[in-house]
Amino acid sequence: MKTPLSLTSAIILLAIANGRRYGFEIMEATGLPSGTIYPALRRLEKARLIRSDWDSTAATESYGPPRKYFRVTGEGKSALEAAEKRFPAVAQLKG
Amino acid sequence: MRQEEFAVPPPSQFLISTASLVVPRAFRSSWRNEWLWEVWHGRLELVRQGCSPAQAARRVTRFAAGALLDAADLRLEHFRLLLNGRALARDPLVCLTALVLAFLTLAGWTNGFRHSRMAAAASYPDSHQLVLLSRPAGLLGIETAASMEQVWSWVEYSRWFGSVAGFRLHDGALEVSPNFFAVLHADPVISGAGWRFLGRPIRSVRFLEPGSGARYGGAIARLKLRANRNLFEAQLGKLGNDGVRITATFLDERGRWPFYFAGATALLFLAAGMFRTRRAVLYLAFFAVKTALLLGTVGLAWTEVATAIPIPVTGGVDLGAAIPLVLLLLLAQAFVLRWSLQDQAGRCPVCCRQVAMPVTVGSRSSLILDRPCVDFLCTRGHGTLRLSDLTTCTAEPYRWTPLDRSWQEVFVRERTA
Repeated sequence: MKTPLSLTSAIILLAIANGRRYGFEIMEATGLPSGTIYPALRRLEKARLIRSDWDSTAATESYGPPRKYFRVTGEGKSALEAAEKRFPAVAQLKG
Repeated sequence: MRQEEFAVPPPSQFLISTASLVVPRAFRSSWRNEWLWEVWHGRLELVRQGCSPAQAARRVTRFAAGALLDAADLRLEHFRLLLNGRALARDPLVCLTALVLAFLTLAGWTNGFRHSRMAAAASYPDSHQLVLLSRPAGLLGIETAASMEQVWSWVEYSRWFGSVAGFRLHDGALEVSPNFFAVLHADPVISGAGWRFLGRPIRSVRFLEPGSGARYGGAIARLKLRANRNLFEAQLGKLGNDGVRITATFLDERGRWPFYFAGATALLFLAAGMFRTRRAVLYLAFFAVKTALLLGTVGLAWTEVATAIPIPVTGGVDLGAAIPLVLLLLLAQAFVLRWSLQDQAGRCPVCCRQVAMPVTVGSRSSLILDRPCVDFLCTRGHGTLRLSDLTTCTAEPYRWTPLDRSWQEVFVRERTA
């Protein structure tokens, strides 16, 4: 049995599911400090609830370096549904 | 848009660079780039949204401050990975540390190859002056006690002896001269329940009548108060003028050589580790140190077992009891040597770590073309080890295939996961 998500992880997961793909965007959307977000992102990725990759499109558009983006996996979606039941606040944020 | 609007602000750069020092070296560079590039994009995004460059710089600097926490978290995670039990067991340094600790614990418990240890020797008054006089037989270190007649001849020559008591010990029954407990400065013990003498449990104690022509197996001497221990030890060599060498073991004495041995072996391996370019030296040094420590540990354990050998009244060794014990020692040493060789065969010749992740390949129905084997991998990516599952005259027992540096990337990712 997997460990249930914490409220912070659930909020971050919800932000990614809502289309906030980059670390900076997730910080702006959730209001959480980046020092909380990045360790949580690493744990979520380790638990296979999200996946990360390098976005070369962003780099091409801005003539700059590549940027890491995150997306929710199938397992992540199931975990988010379970978290919505556990934390009504998360369900309200989604709604 | 001006060029400087794209740059990473210096405070953010400073924060990320400082934090990166905390990040484990294996993935420091990629971590630093990830943060710097995110700051770069974040600033650009803010400027595009209409923020002034100064405002954008302040906001991304607040974002970059989180890098310090992230770096600390990554370092802690790395420590947790390092402390993983299975990974620890593969590490050669951990293996040797465990062996050294086991060896030293046993050395402390057995007083380091001195079977003549007396339980709670310090409980006797002035125990530092109590000496066991014995005659070493030289058979794998089994000491035999000296007969009383020999002892008296030594006493005549020495000016350091205060009083001497004889004893003979056989199958837990201790027979002693009447002055025995006076020499120990202890209350007489008649029922031996819970009492140990020279490391052996004593079931019963009996006094031998003086002048009964009794022959003793050994002697306990108490040196005079003004006796100088060093001078006494120097004089011992001269005492054996009857052709019999004498060993005097102070009851509060601890053998020091196991500690020197353990220290020397550990230093040898550390010294070999400094010459990391010489892989073969490290590999051989690890094998030598590991085997020496294992053999030493078995030797110490055996010495404790050997205290069960009864010393006959006439001195000498009871061969009926000693031969099976010596065979036991040889068997144990052979077993340990075999294990050490097997363990060495399952280690990476580059870093000495145990290989892991076994994969069975081949088929049992095809012994020539597709021989059944097990492939192992060095978790640091140095190579693969193929161990033959079946032993045949044509089969190589094991084959090491080194991997080039291009594989390192895979293993670095594995360690960071």
